[in-house]
Amino acid sequence: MRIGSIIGSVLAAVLVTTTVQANSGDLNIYGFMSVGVGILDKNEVTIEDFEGEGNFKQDTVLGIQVSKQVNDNTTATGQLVSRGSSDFKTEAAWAFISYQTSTDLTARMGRLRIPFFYYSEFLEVGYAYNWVRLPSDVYNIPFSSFDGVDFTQRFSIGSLDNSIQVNYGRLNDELTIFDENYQSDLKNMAGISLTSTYGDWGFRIAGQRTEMTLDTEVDEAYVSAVQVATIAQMTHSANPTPQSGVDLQAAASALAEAEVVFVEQRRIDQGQTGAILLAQQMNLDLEVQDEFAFDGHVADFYNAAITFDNGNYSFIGEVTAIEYESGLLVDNRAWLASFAKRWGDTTTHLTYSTSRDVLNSGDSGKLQEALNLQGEDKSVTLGLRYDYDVNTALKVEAQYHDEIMNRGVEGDYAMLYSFAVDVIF
Amino acid sequence: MKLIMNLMASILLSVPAFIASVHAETAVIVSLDNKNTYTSIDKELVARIFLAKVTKFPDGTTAKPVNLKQGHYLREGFNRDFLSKTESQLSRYWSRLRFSGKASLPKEVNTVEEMKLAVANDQSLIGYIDAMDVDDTIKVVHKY
Repeated sequence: MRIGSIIGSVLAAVLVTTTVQANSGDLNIYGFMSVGVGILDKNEVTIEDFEGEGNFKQDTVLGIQVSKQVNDNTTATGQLVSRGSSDFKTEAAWAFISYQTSTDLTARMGRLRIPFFYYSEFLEVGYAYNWVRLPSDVYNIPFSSFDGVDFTQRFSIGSLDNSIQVNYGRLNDELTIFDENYQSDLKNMAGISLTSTYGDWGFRIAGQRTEMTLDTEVDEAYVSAVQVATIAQMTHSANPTPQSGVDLQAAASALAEAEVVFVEQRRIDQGQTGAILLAQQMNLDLEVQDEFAFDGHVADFYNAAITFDNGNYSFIGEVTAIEYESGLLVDNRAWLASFAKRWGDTTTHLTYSTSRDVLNSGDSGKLQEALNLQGEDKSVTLGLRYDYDVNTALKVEAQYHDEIMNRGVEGDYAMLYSFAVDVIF
Repeated sequence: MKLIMNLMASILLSVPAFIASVHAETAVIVSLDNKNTYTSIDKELVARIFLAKVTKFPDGTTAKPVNLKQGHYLREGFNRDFLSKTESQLSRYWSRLRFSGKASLPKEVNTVEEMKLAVANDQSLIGYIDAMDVDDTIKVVHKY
């Protein structure tokens, strides 16, 4: 009996403790999820990473966010995101501790999102925007998080509410560029953004800079094989001898062997190697080895956006510019304009977006052109979002995407039809 | 005389009911200890506080919004009249802030009684109730 009552009271105590812990309300778990399907009307083109037929995996995203209020001023937050487009590899998009002072200053440290453009800090949260996915003409930077700190100061001038955010950090990660992976070290990533709201209006300007180092390499064996073969050919055609013929044949077969290795390399490796060879052939006057490389080369990202939302009509216009110091990626200009009208639970929207690579001036640009690095795209998207309930949105959209130029050659156009369900919880 | 009394009583009784049927008047409330006055807090400021755009009262003290739970009839009216947003639009608004780690959702209470109790005991809180439920435990800073 006594033992029974002890066990009973222990059990009761355990139960009470568990309940208290479960109820200690400060631990919040939230999440977002999107599932969708995209169908292209052409089989031979790739638009928004979709290739023909039905693709169910591309738009699938799952995000889980856990946050805990540690004390009055301090919160710990983590967000894990798993994307079908990266084979459901789970990544920490956010993992930070934030500290809020009484003067409207918030400091965050840890893994943070890079506030490049208007939607950059909630890229994958489909529920948060009208589209099935963000317009890739503007949103296609191959990295989105960094490790470091940011500070946000909020202040109001009359009814104009503002926040200035500055960030500094670094990213050591594998990047996917042109569908291939590169080990990267993005140092001294620093930026500032100012966002303001005034009634139904919103404004944003922002700039980011980082020094990019990628694990790309010049294929020295291929460069020297080409050089040896070129010399052998010149010698042979100037003064053909049996020996020069043998030399030429040897050089040609060595070159063929080197080429087998070369063509297997990643696109930016090939670009870096190709830049050296082409610069010699084209007799260009530039420091190719220094410029066409990724060795701490600066990249700058600029953004301006204007938004309007009065509950029934909404609009966003956004312009972006990217400047690469390295010649291996081409400077880009992009913008989008989107207009939406709400009818009860249904919102219709129409968007135009365009992206254009801008070659460098002079010999550097000539070399970029010869390396087939530039692209140009435009798209028109017409869509419908239906808010099924406060946590669920159904979306259908049709996108006309014209790839005017893709990697230096004329592209194709196609229609992409998409359907998606977005939930938050 | 008795007739007049009856008439007055019925007018007094029917007027609030009449108002309620046309437009449930919403009273924005703070604690009695809160130093901010009726004239300093307008509808626009209430909206900015409830959308986490402003975190301070006009006197510089911290302002934290308290919401009634989703589905409460007063909340729907408040969303429409003060914030010009549907519940879905608010949900989208907060999803942007929440998933970018910028702000957390306002605290929520289930009933007007809980709202009054919470606000009365914390001078940083600002909430809203039906104007008919106003009593001397809390102070009204705006009515709409």
